[in-house]
Amino acid sequence: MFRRTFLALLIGLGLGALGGAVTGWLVPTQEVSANLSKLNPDYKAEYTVMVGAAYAVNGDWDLAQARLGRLAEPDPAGYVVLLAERYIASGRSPDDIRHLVRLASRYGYVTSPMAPYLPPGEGADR
Amino acid sequence: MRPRRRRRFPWLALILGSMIGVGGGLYYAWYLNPVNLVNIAPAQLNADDRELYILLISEAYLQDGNLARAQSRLSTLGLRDPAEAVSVLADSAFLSGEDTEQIRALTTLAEALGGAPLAAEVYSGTVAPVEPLVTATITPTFEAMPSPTSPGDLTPTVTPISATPTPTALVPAASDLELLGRNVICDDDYPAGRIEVYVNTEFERGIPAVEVLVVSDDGQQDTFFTGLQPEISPGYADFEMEPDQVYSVTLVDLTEPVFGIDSAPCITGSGQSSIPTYQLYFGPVEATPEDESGGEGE
Repeated sequence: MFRRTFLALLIGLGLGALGGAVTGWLVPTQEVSANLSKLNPDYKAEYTVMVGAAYAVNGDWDLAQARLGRLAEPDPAGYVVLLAERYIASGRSPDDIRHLVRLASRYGYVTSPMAPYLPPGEGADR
Repeated sequence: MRPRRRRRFPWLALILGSMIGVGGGLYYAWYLNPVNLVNIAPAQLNADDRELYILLISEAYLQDGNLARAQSRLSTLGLRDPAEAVSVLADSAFLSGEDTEQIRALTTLAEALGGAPLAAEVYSGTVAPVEPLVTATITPTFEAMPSPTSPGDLTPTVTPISATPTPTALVPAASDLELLGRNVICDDDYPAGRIEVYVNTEFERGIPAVEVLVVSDDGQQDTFFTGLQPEISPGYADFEMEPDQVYSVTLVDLTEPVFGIDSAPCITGSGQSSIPTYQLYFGPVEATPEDESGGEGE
């Protein structure tokens, strides 16, 4: 009798734990949200373009760097360079490309595909 | 023959185990290993990052002027009323004295979306659709044309009324602010005859859009707002005094009048006659028990 009771208790524990965990994940206690580092790559790219557009307006490089830092990319410069080249290769909006190229240039990286998109007077300074 | 004992299933143990298990499972899912989102859309961003995202959309709009694109970007945030959301953010930045470029960007986008941000008058040059602290008087007029043939035919005509929407409070609640300091300047090298008002938060940040009422002793009144010269301070405003008047200055609905602003001539260091300039510094009321000075300095 004792063994049966113990077995039932174990089965109940197992089933209950499974059901509780699944329920807990499906019905979180608080609103589930995340930070910018968890954005889908397409939205990260869009965010980066907007950072570049804002930088074109305010010229605040520290602010632009801080904003790019929110994406938690291990190599922000490399990320911007790759994104700029991807945008160039896929024929995206020249304005968007210019924003990205300006950021990449400010980081000190200008590759040959980027050169046509550099604002006049920039590019050779780093 | 001995009756065979029925062996009942231990339901009680199963239910008890289930209850304990459910509790443990919930604890694990909610606290030990909560949902970790990856690959999210902007709509799932936390509040801070969502605000930053809106700010960037507005700054990008300021750069390219592409409203359709700004709207498309805003749509990814899943906002119920994007114009309202951007307006609220613009108001918040405006009232907390954030960077003027950010306020300008948010205000411009909010207006483009049809919103009515409080900072519109200051930062976009367009007329603000709301006028704070002014109550609209609604006076319907009835024009009845009595007719001797059909006296029952009186049809009053009501002129259309456009009521100004009531904005939310612009600045801290009444009596939250007080005069903290007053400087009188009589100097050849400083602009003469001005009342300079500075309204700051407890962190020394200027508060824009505060209405200032100036009353002279001959009964002339004038009102103006802080924030029109953000290059000096978002909380700054000034007023040119007439000579030989005594003025009182009040932050409307926020402070008691400051009396004794006298524009009688003074003598500068070089012996010239001039009208003094008054600098009035307003800030939050000090709530400390040892606040014996009344907060007014010289």
